[in-house]
Amino acid sequence: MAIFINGKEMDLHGLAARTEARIKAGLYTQSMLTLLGRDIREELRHGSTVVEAIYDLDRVLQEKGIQLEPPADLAREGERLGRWRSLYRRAKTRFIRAVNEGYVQQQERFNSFLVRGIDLAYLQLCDRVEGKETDDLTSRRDVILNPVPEWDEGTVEAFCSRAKGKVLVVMVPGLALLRLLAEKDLLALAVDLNDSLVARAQAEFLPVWRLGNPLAAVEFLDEEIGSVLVSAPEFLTASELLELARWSAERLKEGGSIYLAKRALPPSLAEGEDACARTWSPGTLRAVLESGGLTCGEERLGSREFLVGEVKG
Amino acid sequence: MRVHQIVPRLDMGDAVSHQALSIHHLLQSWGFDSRIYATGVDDFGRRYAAPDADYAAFMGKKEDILIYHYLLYCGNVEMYLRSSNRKVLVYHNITPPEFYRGFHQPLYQACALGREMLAFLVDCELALGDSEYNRRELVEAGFPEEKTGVLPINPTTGRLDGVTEDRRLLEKLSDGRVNLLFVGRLVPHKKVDDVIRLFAAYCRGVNARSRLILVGNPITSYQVALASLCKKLAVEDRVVMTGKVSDGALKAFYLASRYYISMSEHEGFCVPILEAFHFGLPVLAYAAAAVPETMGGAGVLFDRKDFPLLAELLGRLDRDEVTRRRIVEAQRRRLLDFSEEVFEERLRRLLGPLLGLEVEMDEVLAGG
Repeated sequence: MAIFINGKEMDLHGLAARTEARIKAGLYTQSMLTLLGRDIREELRHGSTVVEAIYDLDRVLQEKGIQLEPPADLAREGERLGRWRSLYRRAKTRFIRAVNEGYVQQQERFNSFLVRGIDLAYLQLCDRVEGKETDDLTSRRDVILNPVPEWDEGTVEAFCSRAKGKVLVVMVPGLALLRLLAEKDLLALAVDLNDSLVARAQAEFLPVWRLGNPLAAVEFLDEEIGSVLVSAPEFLTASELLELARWSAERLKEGGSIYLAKRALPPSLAEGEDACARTWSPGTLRAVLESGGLTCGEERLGSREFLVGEVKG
Repeated sequence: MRVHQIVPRLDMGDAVSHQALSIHHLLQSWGFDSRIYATGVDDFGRRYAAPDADYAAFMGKKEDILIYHYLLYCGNVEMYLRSSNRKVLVYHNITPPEFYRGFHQPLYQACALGREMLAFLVDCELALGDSEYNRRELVEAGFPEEKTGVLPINPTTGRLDGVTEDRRLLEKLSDGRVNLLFVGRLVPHKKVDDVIRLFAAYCRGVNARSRLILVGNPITSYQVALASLCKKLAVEDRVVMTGKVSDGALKAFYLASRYYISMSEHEGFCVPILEAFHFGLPVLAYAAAAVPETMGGAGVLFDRKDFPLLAELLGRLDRDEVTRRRIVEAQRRRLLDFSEEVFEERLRRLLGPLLGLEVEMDEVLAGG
């Protein structure tokens, strides 16, 4: 490979060495590198077809109280069927008539409407909107920077000595934990919402990704995981916690554990209009672990208390 | 003698439309009767262009000149073929159809037909490419070398200078994250998927404080695939697909961004690169088709898409302000080659002999 800056070829040795170091550190997993090399046409199979998107568009519009009005001639076989057929017919002829849109009879306007609709439908399919604007959702998640309290040295050491096999860290309680795990070659991957913290970790070649949903990370894990640490369960939704528990029950190696920190955040961070965290009672977390197929116990490590879900033998 | 120009569309902000209008204004300033015809127009284009059917009345005039802008297959190519005018073809390149296979059948067919037709357009006085790359394609299609030349696009890089940026958007984007920018249609040959891959590598491995902004209208099937890819790479909340935006928003995107990325594998010229030059964004571009020629030795070019390595390069440029400044300075110098004055001089040299203008004949044709 050659890179030219202002026409002059660059010496790539330094860049290549840093890239190699990041790959070795686990910042790029093999699964991710494979995905980076895949033909985009593969995604067509995984994405929605236009027809599916139109169905979703219709559904989303209906959920938002916007009714597409079926033309009289197509409403005979029942209102719903008429509406579907009407939608197809309008899509085909590039005419859409929506109650709140008025007549839209130009191809360009139809196309932009369709594209917006597909955006919306796709986000719905991705289950990311949940009735809120995406920007709003992102900013709500980003509003609290670095909310996870740093663990003291005793807790860090206690956890690292208890960890079985490689560890997946969900929400980072300070870089000290990651440094020690990496030093002991126990850190598989960490994820956090705070991009400043993640950027600092990346600068130290620590394998940390900025991700909201830890389940997006497990897709990329190449190694067998022994322990999962959720240092602030308050930042995960109930369904994310439950899915993580199920994943742990299925995929953790024998004797592996998932650690959920109890009352990790001060209640003030989980209250108010802008807060994205919530307060989970220990009872709820216990129920989540057990529903996921794990046996649940409790453990104190350093100054912190944890619920520990273990894979049933 | 009249000079007629036919374009598929005459729209505000479109590079080919701007070139046709620049030629039109220059011809008028030189005292010629210049006219533009288009199959489609927006409100802006309506002020300058007549429907292409109106050109039929002048097809038999042997003394007139027809400048035909060819960038896609369009029904008005029949007029070019039947016209008795002295003909000048301006070739803006047509995307190889393979890029659209599986994504958009009508575009696949239109591109295939457009490229096949090129060989039938040889009968002309002059054939111009807007890059040397395009000129070479003309020669390969059978145009005599001595009748070919290069007339680069005169980009509308200054058109946003008088526009007020969308301040609310600019403020929102200036949140400390490094913004990577791509501007252009979201279509397969521009390899926007590779822009996303580079961003994913950068965000995942080098700088989590980052965002990717993709500005431009998509084709639906490709957009669906891009959205799926973003989700797979878990960067869907860091990639913003804006669709077509207002000039104020576009300016805000340029002002708020730190790098411009082009992964395109087929470009006849690539105007957004020069817009990025104008706004002082270092351009990182894959060296394909006419892109190296447009960049003219400025900016960053690479010949392989090693995403982790390129992400590392972005990280290095983040830290190396001196190199960054050198890149921006070289890009600004390159922009001087595309000034209105240079364009006028080049047009005069190329069309002068046909128009009966006095020009110095050295290096007029064959890429001169």
